[in-house]
Amino acid sequence: MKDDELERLFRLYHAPLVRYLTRRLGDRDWAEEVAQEVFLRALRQDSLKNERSWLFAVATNLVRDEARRTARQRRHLLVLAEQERDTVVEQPPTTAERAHEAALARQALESLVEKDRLALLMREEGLNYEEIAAALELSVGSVGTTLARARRRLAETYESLQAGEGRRAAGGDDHD
Amino acid sequence: MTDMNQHLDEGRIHAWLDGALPPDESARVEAHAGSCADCAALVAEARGLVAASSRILSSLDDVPGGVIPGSAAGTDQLAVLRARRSAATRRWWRDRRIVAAASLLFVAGVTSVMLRSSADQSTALRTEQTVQAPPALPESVTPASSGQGATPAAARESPAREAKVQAGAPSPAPSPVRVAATEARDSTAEQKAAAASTSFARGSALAANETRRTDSSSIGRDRQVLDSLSEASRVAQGASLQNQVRQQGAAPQRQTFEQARADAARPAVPPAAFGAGASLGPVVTTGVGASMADALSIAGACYQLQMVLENGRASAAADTVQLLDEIVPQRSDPQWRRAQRINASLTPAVLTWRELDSAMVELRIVSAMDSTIVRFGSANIVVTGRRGEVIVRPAERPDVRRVPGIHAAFALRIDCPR
Repeated sequence: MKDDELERLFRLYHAPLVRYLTRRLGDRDWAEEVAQEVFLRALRQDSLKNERSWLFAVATNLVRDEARRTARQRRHLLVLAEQERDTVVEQPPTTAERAHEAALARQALESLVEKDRLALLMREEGLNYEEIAAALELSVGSVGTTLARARRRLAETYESLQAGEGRRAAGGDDHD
Repeated sequence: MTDMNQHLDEGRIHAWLDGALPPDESARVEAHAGSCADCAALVAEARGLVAASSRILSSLDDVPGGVIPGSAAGTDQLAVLRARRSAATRRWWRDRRIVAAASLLFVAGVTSVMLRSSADQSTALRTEQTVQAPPALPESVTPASSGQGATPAAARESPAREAKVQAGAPSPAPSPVRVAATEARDSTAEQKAAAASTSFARGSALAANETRRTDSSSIGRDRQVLDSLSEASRVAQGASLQNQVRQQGAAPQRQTFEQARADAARPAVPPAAFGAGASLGPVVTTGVGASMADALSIAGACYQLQMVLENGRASAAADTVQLLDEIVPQRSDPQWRRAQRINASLTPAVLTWRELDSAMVELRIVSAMDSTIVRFGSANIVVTGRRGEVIVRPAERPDVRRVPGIHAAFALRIDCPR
C-alpha cells in the first residue's frame, strides 16, 4: 500500500475506528493500540476491497482475540466505572452526571449480545448495511432486525438502569 | 418485498430509517406508514430508539479529563505508522540492494570462470574486457543501490515531509479550530509565532510549558504530524462548516457561519490554541504533551463561539471572543482573565476566562439576563458520513450551563477581526 493511500485511509477511518473501539472496549488507550494494529495490517495489503468493512472487521477480530485473553481487563474496567460513579460525588455535578451516564451506558451496552452490539456500534460509525453484513458475516437482510433488536435492548436496559438508580436514590433519601 | 397492506416489521422499519432499503421498497414502506396508524406508531418508536441509542452511545465517548486528551493521539499514531512504514521500506530497499550486489558478484564470478576456462585466447582477451566491466555495473545501479543517499521516492517522501514540518513552516492558510473542549496543540513554530505576535505571552505559562515539553517525548512527533495534517483539517473543517450551514438553513446564521469561514480562510493564522492546530475532521488528535504545550497561544486569540443544539445538528453562532491576558481586577482568584467580545451580537456582558488546567479553558459570560459557562475541553467535533450527509457531533460534551437546549459548545479559532 502506498504512503498516500495509508494517509487517506487514516484520515477517513481512524477517528470512527477509535471511537468504535473505545465504545466497544471502554478504554481509549486500548482502542488506540488496536486501531494502530489495524492500520499496520492494512499497510501489508496491496489493496483493500470494501475498505471500511475490512478495517472494522479486522478491528473486531483483534478485539475478540484480545478479549479472550484479557477478559480480566474488562471486569477491571467495570470496577473502575463503578468506582468512578462512587467518586463523582465530590466532583462537579456535570462531571458526575456524565460519568454516571457513561457507566450506565456501558452496562447497557454490555447487556447486548455480541453480534447486536457490534452491529450497532458499526452503524453508529456510519457503516451501511452491506458493510456491517460483510464485517460481521451476516446476511444483509438480517442487519435491520439485528439493529432494531440492539437499539431496543440498549434503550430499554439503559432506562431500567436509570429507573433502578432513581429508586435506589429515593430509598436512600427516605433513610436520611 | 412489502405488500402495501402488510404491516411493517421492526427490522424493515429500522432499515428504512437507516436508508438501507431500495427506492421502490422504501416508497412502499413510506406509503404504508402513512396510511397505517399502528405502523406509524412503530416508526415513531423506532425513530426514538435510533435517537436514544445514539445518545446513549455518545456518552461512552467521555473519557476522564486529562487522561486521554483529544488530539494528538491520532496524529501520533499516523506518525508511528509512517515511521514503521519508512523503516520497513528502508529494510526492503536495503535488502534489495544486497540482493542486487550479490547478483552482480555472482554474474561476474560465473562470467570470469567461464571466460578463464575458455581455450580460445582471442575470445578470452575480448571477454576479459567484459570481466573488467563489473566495476562499472554497480555504477549503473548506483541510483538504486548506493545506500542511504539513494532512497526510493516512496521511502523518501515521508521523511522529507517530516523535515519540512520540523522546519516549522507555518501553514499557508488558517486552521479554523473547533473546540468542544480542550485541545490545544500547535507546533513549536506556531507557538513562537503566537508568542511573537502577541504581547500576552505569559512567563509562568511558558515555564510550565517548557517543563511539560521536556516531560513529554511525544510532543515532537505530535507537532511534526500536526502540520502535515493541517491542510486536510482545513478542508474537513470547511466542509463541516458548510454542512452546518446547510443543516441550519437560517439565513442570519448562514451569514454568520460563512463569515466565520471567511475569517478562518484568511491567511497567516497560527493553528489553534484550544483547538489543536487542530486536527479535526476524521483525525482524532490528542497527546498530553501537545495539549499542554500550547497554552501560550490561548491569550490573544480570537474564537467564534458556537453552540450545538440538543438535536445535535443545528448550531447557532453566538459571538466572537478574544481572550486577553489581562487579569481581572478585584477578583480573588488571579486565574481569572479578561476576554472581550468582538462584533458583539448579544447583549453586553462581562466575559472572563481561566485555564482550569493545561487542557481546559473555562469561559464565563455574565450578562444581566443570565450567566453562561462554556468549558473547552479535550473533545473533538468529529465529522462522520452517514446517510449521505455529514453530521457534526461532539465526541465529548463540554459543560454548557444554564443554556437550555444547548447540547454542546465549541469554538472556531479565527483571525482576530481588525
